[in-house]
Amino acid sequence: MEQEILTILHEIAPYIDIDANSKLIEDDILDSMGILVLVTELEEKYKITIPLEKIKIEDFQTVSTLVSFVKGYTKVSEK
Amino acid sequence: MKKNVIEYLIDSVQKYPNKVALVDKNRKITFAELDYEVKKVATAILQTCGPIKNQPIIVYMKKSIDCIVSFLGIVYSGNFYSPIDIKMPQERIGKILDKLHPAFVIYGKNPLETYEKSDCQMSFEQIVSSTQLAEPINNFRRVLDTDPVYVLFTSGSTGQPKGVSICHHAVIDYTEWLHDVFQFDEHTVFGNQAPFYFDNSILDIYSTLKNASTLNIIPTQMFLLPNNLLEYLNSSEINTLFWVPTALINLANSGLLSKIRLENIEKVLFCGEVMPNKQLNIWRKEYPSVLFANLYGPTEITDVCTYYIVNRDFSDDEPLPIGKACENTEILVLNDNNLLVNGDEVGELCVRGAGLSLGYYRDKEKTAQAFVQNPLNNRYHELIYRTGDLVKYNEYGELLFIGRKDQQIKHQGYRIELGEIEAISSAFNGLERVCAVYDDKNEKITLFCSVKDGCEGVTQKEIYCYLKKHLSSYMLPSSIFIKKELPLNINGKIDRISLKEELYKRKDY
Repeated sequence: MEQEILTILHEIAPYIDIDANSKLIEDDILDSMGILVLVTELEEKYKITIPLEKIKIEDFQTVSTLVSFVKGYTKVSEK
Repeated sequence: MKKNVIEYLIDSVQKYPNKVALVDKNRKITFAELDYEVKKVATAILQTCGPIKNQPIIVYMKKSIDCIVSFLGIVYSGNFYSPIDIKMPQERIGKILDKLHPAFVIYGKNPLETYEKSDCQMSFEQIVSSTQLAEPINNFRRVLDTDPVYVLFTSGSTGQPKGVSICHHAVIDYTEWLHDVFQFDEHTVFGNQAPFYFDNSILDIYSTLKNASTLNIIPTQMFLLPNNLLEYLNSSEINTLFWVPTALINLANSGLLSKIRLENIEKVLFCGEVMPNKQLNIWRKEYPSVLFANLYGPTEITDVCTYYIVNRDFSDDEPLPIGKACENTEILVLNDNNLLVNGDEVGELCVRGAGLSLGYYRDKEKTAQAFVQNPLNNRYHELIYRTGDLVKYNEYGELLFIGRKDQQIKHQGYRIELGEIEAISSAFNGLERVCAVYDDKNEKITLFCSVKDGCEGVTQKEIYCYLKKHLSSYMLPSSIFIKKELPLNINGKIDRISLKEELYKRKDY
């Protein structure tokens, strides 16, 4: 999943080197538009629904926080 | 009559010493506390630099209460301020320093690397902790209302930022007009969105001082997530917004306006780019009794020169008017023959009145191009500012924005000259010709370039990394395309129109 999320991020910010440890918010890799695009892409890719009123900025800090964020939603939909 | 913006501070301190004036994510301060810190800054400047007057002083720190204290301290000392974005690349800062020759720098976390006179640089923290107030300071009283309050740097088409200089009289005239029209008072709580190097913040700062309102500096990170932002507006009891449309559009598009109610909202003003009715209608539907106003104006005329208070229904695809001239301002819409337009003829919006800037700092040539003798007046000296914006009148006699005469764009509310992006890119080793185009539908900047013979190995990433070092982040292109050669039009210039059309055909766009 980490690799898949990196691929999506690479599409959002094509000329920036992003790896698992990149600080997505602190280093301005994601802006408000970028987050919205990312959320939409994650919803499509993993067939999940992410309610915008519930998301937290902490979930977007790094690729690994994103992985656990998405896993939280995929588990719910499996049930 | 007021002649210095500091008089607003003095009045509010007298009337409401214990009322909260400013709030940011770290602290809040009352008018009396603000006054005390402002005097410390003024004292530190005068102690370090001697009795300087009307000199430029840079404020180089993150958006915060400390920033506003520094601005006002500088004005209190009889000088004027110029804020610099801490995220601006050092190369661009260097260009600004070359123009400005600042007498002093107040910084937050890090000093200004490119500034040579290190003894004229002090951190805000040091100023506040080590300065003792001595004699009362009255230096600001020796400043005239035609002297500058601030210089804001804006994008220049040749790659050289332009410093728009604004005087006390212009800010006072604007602030008084705002008070008369929007009835701001001590109950107003402004939610600041605008960066302080962007002149929309002039409304926030000086209306707060004049009306003894409260200014809440919303942490920038709040704007990343719409739910956080809405909850913040509620918890901090913000009732008045003056934002760039992009920020309002994001909230409307999130679909959360109907889910998280704004409990306190009374007035929503916006300026800086076109506000689409599609998203404004979402706001209006949720908040039918809130006042919405579309303000328009370039930095050169002190933030705003026309306004439209939304008072009738618009369909989603109709343009929202920019309305009519503010008090003590006149708009002349001039055609190519420098005559007033007739009927719905399109012309250039030109401004006359007290809001006019003192011109571009240390740049006579650029100043003379934009600030010209009123062509309709051959009797006495009178300057107008030529905005470069094309407008026409609608059936109600309201102004409608049509587009630009040149290659200036508004991207997420930021004013950018595509020429600046091109000038910087063409300096990259290996590039032959460059052309920046703006796709306003998708709000994306794209750079097309052709490479010199033998430099075919140049990559998009290398170009991007170079640009990152020279341009502010909001100017960076989101796509870079390298072509064998760029198409030319019949005049031998790069054909922007065909490049723009090409964008939509490309699969990699």
